[in-house]
Amino acid sequence: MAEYKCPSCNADINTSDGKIKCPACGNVYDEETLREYEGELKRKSFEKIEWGDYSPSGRLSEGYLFYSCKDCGGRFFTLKGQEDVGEERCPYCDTALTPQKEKLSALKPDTVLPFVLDKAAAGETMRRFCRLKPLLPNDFAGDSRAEEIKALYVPFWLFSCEAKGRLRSDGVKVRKQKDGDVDVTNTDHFMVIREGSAVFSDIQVDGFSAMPEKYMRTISPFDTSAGKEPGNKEFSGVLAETGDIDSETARPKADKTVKSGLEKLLSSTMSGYSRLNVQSREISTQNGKITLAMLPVWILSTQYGKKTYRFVVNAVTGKCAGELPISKARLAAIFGGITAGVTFIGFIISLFL
Amino acid sequence: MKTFVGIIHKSRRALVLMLSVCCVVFLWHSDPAYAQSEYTVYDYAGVMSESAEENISESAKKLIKDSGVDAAICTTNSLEGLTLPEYAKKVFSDVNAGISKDKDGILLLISFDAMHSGKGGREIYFYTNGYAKNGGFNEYGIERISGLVMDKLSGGDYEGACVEWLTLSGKFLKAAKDGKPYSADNRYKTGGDYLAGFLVSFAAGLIIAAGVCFVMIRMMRTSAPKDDNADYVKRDSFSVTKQRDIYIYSTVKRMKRESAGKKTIDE
Repeated sequence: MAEYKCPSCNADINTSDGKIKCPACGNVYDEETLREYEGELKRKSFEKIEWGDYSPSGRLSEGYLFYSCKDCGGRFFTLKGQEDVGEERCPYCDTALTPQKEKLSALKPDTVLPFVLDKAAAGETMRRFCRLKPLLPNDFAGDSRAEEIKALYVPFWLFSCEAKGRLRSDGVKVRKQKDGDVDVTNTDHFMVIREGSAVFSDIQVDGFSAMPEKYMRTISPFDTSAGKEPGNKEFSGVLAETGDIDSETARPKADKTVKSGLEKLLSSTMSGYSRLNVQSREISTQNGKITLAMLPVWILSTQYGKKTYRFVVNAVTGKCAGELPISKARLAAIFGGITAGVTFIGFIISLFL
Repeated sequence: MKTFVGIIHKSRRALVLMLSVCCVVFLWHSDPAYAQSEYTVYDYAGVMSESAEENISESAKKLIKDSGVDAAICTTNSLEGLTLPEYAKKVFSDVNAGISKDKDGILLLISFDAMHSGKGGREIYFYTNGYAKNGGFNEYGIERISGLVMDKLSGGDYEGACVEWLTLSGKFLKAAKDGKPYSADNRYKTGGDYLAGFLVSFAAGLIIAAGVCFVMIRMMRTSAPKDDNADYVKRDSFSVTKQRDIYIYSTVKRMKRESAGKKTIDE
């Protein structure tokens, strides 16, 4: 005699009399379904996401000049020979950069993405963003600011893997019908199981913390298909951020992308249900790989008042993110003008009511 | 003797003159065209001071002079079993209020009957007669004035309320005479109404300005981080290797519809 729990009301039911009918709620089951159902309940959720260790392809030291910013702590390097010594300014805070005399090095990136947008195109993107902004201070508007936009390589960790997953959900299909003066609601309960796999390629996670993450997520993703191994010229005449986030620190964000991405894909195949409630997830990865990439951006940082405002453009796609300063005088004038105007018109209308 | 006869003769002439004047005054007063109530305030409830009554009478004189409509005010603790309109009509008639053949006049009745019997609070009734009823005041005017007077009365300022009633009545009568009577289409506005109009407009201005400035401030920054993990899934790499939809059980709910919108549930 086999004993089961009723999936509907959790009452004990047995198959001794040949019928599998719950004595409490009256639902009827076939034994194979109950066996599979209870077997599924015993499976536990797990996540086993492995990327392997990051092995750097080398370090950049000889032939490179390193800078640091005394103000914001930003650290950069560029190829010697093309630098503008004494004139380089920090892309993050616009402070003069100090060349480092001691011997320094930076991780050699596995891939470098070339600039697609030139300075003029990036400046035009900035000018477009500044248009129709009544709150922009007078001394900020105009072409001169767009001329100050700087090229910068920023480090990103790229995570790639093959992910497998299994998702089990409770699915409900609701049917409503009328029977005379009675509304009848039939609710069918299903156990919905999906197994599948997907390849995640070049999940991009910031390798530096100087820029607000929301800005970088806004301008991401970069199309890394055009990436190439760095030679000697990539960092010629352009600053590159050395980065301050290692691959281990960046991993949790990549893990989250894989977990939620695969769950979303599997859930998208569970169609036809009124409601779905995920009960268990089993996710694992294989052939994980971590690489370091240098991705190109155009960046403008400017001090206004006591705050530093940053504007960044993806130098491949042209997507932009950032913040512009607000003129308090203009804000006050617009607020006061609208208030006075609406008050006047409203008062005149009230006289005729 | 001659002097005495002369004095008598002169006194007779003076007496005749005096009697004549008295007759004229009597006739003038007894002419229905000029009749009006002897007093303005009939404070049967005893809620007003002598000086208050004098002030009110002064205001009433101005109204009567400017509009030619008589005005009387009555306070009472009991309606003697009558309704407000019935009692007001009775008082108006009893005190012989009203000017001209049509008895043009108005009366403000302030009753404490309901208050004393525990059935409510102060009540007022604005009674109109003659021209005041047929042209001087319309329904809007009576309601508007009554409302404003009631506001004043709620503070216990009987003198102020009565003076306000007389002043407002004067304004409404003047507007009616000028051919622009106050009505639902030509509302009478107090300073409070203008202030309220200004404050509502000002509040609307603040809200709209705040909304516009909020949008403008939002326009000053652009960052819309998206959580599209699909960006990193290699094209055509996703495949489903197992797909099971196992039917477990069903539940049925039956709900009887009732006309009142209530439902009974039967599972």
